[in-house]
Amino acid sequence: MLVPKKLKYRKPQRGRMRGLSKGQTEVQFGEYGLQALEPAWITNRQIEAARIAMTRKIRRGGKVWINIFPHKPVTKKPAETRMGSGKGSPEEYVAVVKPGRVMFEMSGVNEQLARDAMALAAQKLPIKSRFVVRGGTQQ
Amino acid sequence: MAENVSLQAREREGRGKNDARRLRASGMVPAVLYAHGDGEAKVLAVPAKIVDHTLQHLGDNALYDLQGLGSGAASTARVVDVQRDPVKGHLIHVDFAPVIMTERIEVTVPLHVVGEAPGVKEDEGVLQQVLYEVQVESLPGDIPQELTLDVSSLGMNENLTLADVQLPEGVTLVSDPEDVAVTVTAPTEVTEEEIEAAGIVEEEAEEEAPEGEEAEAAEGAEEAAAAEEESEEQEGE
Repeated sequence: MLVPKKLKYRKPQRGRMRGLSKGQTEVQFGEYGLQALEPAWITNRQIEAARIAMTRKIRRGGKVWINIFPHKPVTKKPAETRMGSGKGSPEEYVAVVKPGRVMFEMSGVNEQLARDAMALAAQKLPIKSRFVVRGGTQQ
Repeated sequence: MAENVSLQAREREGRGKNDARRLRASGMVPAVLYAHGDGEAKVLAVPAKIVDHTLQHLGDNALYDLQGLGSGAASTARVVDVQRDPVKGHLIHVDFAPVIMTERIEVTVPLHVVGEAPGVKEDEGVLQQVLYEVQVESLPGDIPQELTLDVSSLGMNENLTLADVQLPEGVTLVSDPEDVAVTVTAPTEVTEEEIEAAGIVEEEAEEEAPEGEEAEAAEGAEEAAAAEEESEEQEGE
């Protein structure tokens, strides 16, 4: 699973996810992509699940790019703990995704197979997303 | 190259987000025409529908005849930058650069692959297009809409470079001719071990589990915890 090698701060503040994605809003590496339509924290488990679902579908051939990385640690207090006594410990890592971001890309397969694989990947994510083609119109 | 697209542009006086928003609502899109030589850049409004349609059907290198810009004579320009809404996809702003038909310019042209590679058909390899765009130099009137690369002779573990791209007359390559454009490689397969190592299948089973006995057990545990907490609070009082 994707995990940062080292962190500057172990327990960052949560922040807000306002506005649209500033970059990576078009397919840059492959031919097809999966674009986020909502803001969300995507966990490293979800990214891995989506990747496996995609690569399982395309089986032989094709190449997959993951354009998001879970840089942000998320803390959690243990179950049945009273409030107070400081911030919880880091539990998981998430990628901050805003609308418009192309999260996954794919090449080396035909469009229908790419659509099917991306649909499976989209099932693993907590947000609405859509299939996009390089240089194509919004679909 | 297709004929120039005639575009009825007008210079806009208003500035800022509010004026731009009103402009977009009226079917126009804010644009700028870069300065050429000693002249000044012009701030324009152009019809969004025509520009969008042209970009999608004739590509990024189509030439436009901008009309209605003061001096009366149409000035030829091409689109050098486009801003789009990342979610809705509509145009937000367009940058035009003036074009002199006798001066050679550097442009980026899309590269398309044609044919079926024997490495894919017979050896079950995977065709990977490494480059999707090529930098070329030509006169504005000779810019090709797209370049094609024939892969019908490409075997397994072979590749084609930009030197193999057939260029039309008057067009020269600016990108490195030794850059690999297309390659056929052996497919990579996800093994069952890799899937198990990632722990994805097991996780899903756990997530779906809270039904029947386990769900009841979980509910029971929650109730017990709540009762315990209450009793602790009462003791505290």
